[in-house]
Amino acid sequence: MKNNKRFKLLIVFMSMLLLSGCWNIKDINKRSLPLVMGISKEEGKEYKLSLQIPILENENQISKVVTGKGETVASILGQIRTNSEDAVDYSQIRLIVIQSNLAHNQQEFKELIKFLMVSEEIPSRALVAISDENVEDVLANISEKLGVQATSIYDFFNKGSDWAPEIFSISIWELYRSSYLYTKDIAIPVVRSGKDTVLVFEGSDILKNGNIIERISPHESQLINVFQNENEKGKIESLGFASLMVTNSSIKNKISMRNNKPHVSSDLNLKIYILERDNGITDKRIRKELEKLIEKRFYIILKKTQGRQADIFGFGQQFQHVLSYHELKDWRDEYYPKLKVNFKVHANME
Amino acid sequence: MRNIVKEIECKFSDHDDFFIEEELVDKTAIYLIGFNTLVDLSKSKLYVQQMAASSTSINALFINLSGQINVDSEQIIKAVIEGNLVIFSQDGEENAVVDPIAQNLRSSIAEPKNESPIYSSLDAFGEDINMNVGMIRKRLSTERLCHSSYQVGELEKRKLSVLYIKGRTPNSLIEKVNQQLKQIKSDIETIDDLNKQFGQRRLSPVSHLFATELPIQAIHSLKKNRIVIFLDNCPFALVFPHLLWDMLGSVNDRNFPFILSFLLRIFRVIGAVATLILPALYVALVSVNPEVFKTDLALFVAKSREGIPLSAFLETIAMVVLVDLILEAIVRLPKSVGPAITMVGGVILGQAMVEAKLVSNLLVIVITAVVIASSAVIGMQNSLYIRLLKYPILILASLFGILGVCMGLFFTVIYLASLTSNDIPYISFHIEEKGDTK
Amino acid sequence: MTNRIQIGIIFIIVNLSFGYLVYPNLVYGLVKIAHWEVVICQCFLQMILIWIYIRGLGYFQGNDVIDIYLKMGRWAAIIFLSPFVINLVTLVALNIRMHTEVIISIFLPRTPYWSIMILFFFISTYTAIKGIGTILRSSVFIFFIVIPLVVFSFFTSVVNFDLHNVTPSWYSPHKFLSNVKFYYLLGFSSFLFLGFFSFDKKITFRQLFVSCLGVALFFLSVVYIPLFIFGQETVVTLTTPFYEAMDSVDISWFSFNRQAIFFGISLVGLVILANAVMFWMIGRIMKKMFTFRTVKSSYWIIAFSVCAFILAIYVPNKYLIEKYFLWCTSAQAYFMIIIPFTIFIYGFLTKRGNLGYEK
Repeated sequence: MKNNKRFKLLIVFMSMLLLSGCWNIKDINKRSLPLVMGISKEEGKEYKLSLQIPILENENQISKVVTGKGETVASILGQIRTNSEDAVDYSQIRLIVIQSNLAHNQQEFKELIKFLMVSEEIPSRALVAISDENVEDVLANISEKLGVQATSIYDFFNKGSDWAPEIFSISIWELYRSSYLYTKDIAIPVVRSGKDTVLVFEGSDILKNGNIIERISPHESQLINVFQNENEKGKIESLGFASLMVTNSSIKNKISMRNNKPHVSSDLNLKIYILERDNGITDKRIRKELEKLIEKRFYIILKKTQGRQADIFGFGQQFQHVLSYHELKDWRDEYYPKLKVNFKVHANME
Repeated sequence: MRNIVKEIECKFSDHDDFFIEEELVDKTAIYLIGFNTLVDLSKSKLYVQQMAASSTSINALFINLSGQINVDSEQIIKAVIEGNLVIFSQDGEENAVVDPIAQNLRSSIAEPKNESPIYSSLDAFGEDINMNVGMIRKRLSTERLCHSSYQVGELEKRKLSVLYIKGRTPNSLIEKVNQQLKQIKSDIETIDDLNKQFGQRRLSPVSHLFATELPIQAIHSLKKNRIVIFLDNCPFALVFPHLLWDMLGSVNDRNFPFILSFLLRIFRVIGAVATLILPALYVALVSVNPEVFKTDLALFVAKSREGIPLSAFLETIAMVVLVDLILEAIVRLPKSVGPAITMVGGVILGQAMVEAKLVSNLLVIVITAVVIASSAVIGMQNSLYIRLLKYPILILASLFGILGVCMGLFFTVIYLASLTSNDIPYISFHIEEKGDTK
Repeated sequence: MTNRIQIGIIFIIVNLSFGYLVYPNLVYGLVKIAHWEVVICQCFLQMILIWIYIRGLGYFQGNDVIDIYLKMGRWAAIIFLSPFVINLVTLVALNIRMHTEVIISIFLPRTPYWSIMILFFFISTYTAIKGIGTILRSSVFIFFIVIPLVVFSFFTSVVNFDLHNVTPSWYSPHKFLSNVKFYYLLGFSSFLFLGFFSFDKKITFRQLFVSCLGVALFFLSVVYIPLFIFGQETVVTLTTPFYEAMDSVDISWFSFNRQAIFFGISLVGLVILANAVMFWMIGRIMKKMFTFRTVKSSYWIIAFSVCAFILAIYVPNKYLIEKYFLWCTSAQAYFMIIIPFTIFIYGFLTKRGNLGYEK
């Protein structure tokens, strides 16, 4: 009797070994790992989705682009799954490129963001970018550019602020969050495919409540970065008669309420290093020109966004302890248009 | 009465190495009886002659020679079997049991074969139980060192010696061990037989006893309130109870400054944990949960597995079993053939399997790391059981991925926490002093 | 000495295992700002209850809760403790089921949930059968494995903090105290197991004070980390805010992609131990209450774990689990108030000399 029991236990145990193929577990080399996803939708037509999938056979890492069409994004994802030869694993998607027509459609854009955030397969860390061109062209550009790695599109955004201070990145969860925040708006980077390089950074789109308002240039978007406490290290400015590099920066904000109107005075301290200058140009002149240039930039953006009631610089966040919670709900409509900012730049030589 | 002598002769008639020699002392005959494989006959005869020269009569000779005089026949037989020399007077009425010059059947103190201590003394325990106890007494000269000896067994009587420091080892422990040893009925042949007497643990790879060859380690354990048991013909000191920290810290570490010994112990912990989870982690991360990796790493791993026909789990099991087989085979090989097989094994594992694309390079690296890590712990037995424990975790990992690795690790921890020997848990930090200080 | 540390560690572990999943959602539903007030009030109330409990136990040295109830009378014990056992069984079932769902969504989206539940139940039952000594010893180890992971995931999520997302302020009229949901919150921890040890030494409140502080800190961070990352308005729209907060962290220099894995691992360790403690409690109660049957407590534990497993399988979907879990924790809150009070009152009166006082 005891032997029988042990024998049965042994059988159970051995059959556990066979379970290891169970539950459709696939080894990593049997999966396709798409890295970049591109979504676009024409007016009145269906959604189009492209995936960039690296192929690992040869020594060079090349990639292929797979496109599908369907009624909703979810159905296209399922369709691609059905038609691909390997199991497609969406958990390594790093970048989502959205065509600007789709981005300008407020209703659908909002739904898309919600879908991307809630979906368990697509990680919410993935970055988002907007492109004016055809999304497939952007993705296919990699295969044409020889000697370029499969992860190059993702690496484009992740160079780090020292190496490329103008580029910033925004992830899905930040987009999702911005549709609920009362006191801050965000900007999404805009890219297009380049002739010699894979991508070219064109500026950014300001997003308010799912609505795209403005497009601003790279210099201006970099200024927005500064206000969000990213360092301006490494940025190169050219003044026509001189070019200089910013080696360090810091920003200080002081807020106050006067007559129920919000007031901010910010000071931006820069340390600069002069790279080249024409003959006879003094340091003082360079500094003054730089300060004027940056202040002008700032006031242009401020005027544009104040008119559209989009708080791109995040001043509303600073007023969180001054205003009460209910008043903050109306920040964009009531307080922000009345906001007065006193912006001063102080540039010092290295 | 020569009956006793005749009786004994009959009893040992089919033992060809049994001798009865007649000696002349003071013109009276005495008989020397014993096994000539155990007694060095010529030297013993010389010894007896020498003693006879200084004694007045046969009785005096007997008294001078030994303390056991006129014992009965059962004890004579026992004494002869144990290798003593029994001397009978001519009429068979008086006898004496003498400790003879024995044949030299023992090796002397040698270097340890199963451990390699650096920076410390190199004596190891030997086969003779008296020599072992003597080595300890020589190094630990205190009157609080107590020694009790037992003789257990059915077919053969084996000697057991139990050593402890009175006042340090808890009294309850000593009494329990005493009771358990007195109750032994079956033969004690191997260490595991002794192990079973302390509490039956059928399926457990962890034993109650920790074997060490170094006197220093045994003495250190005694000072740490534990009991040391010696079995004769067994060149190990068996420390009872076995605790988890024996695997990680040895007394020889403390020959270095504290920070160095601390680092060494940390390395052993890393080695033990790595043996347990590295193969399982490989299987989990490659087949079940590859989304854990960053993109570059994931692509690299996928590339390294390109074209491999086996699934990750089978690959790992095959390699792990193969490596364990090699480790076992190397122990069995004689010294002449050993190096050749090692080379072949290394070539097969390292080169051929990878080039034939049967396993991936990454797996070979992982397995090498596992082999090295498993040898970092102290004690062959401990390293063996850690190597054994990685198989269930590997199976769990192939089913459940990283969750399986965690579960396996936690289950191992809980299992080790549930082991106790004589109510002292396996994981206790130290045994408290609860002995008398009489 | 080690006993005290072990008890403190077990206390932390059991409380931690309740706090990850449903607790933050409740807090966000209760108040919009000044969440710390809710947490601090709740921890404070807990500490008061624990103090009453320990004082009550202190009147009966060497006895545990079951013995005390048996002193009151056999029927008193059955009335008080049987619903408690039922509550524990359902709590275990729902706890494991809920955590299995979360773990599936973190680690293994394709494995069916019953297999993972078998694993959890098996390990918890095994630990409970081996007795309290095993639980205490292994808790030290598991603590040292799990707490660094928890701390690590907290600190790495600081990367995404935006401190201005949270308005620090008072919420002067404490409206939430009158909201009945606040009392649900009380059930989100369990200190009743403290009464089941029968040590000869008294457990004093001072020993547990440090653990209580640790637990309070932990609950604060569990509530505030998603707040810092997402902000109040976003957080109410998410179903598992803490998990989403962990998922949003992206460290570029670290070779692992998902911080949520560490969160998951710590969850596994905590769940195993907490459920083992609960099973052990059930075993002891059953063994001592039904002494006419001389059944070993391990058989009771196995029987109840099978019951709990069947219960856990039959809950059809996620939404119902949350609802049942809330009911269960409110029932536990009820017990957490009743049992300490009755023990304290009984002990006080016995000490006074009113031995014939029947409750």
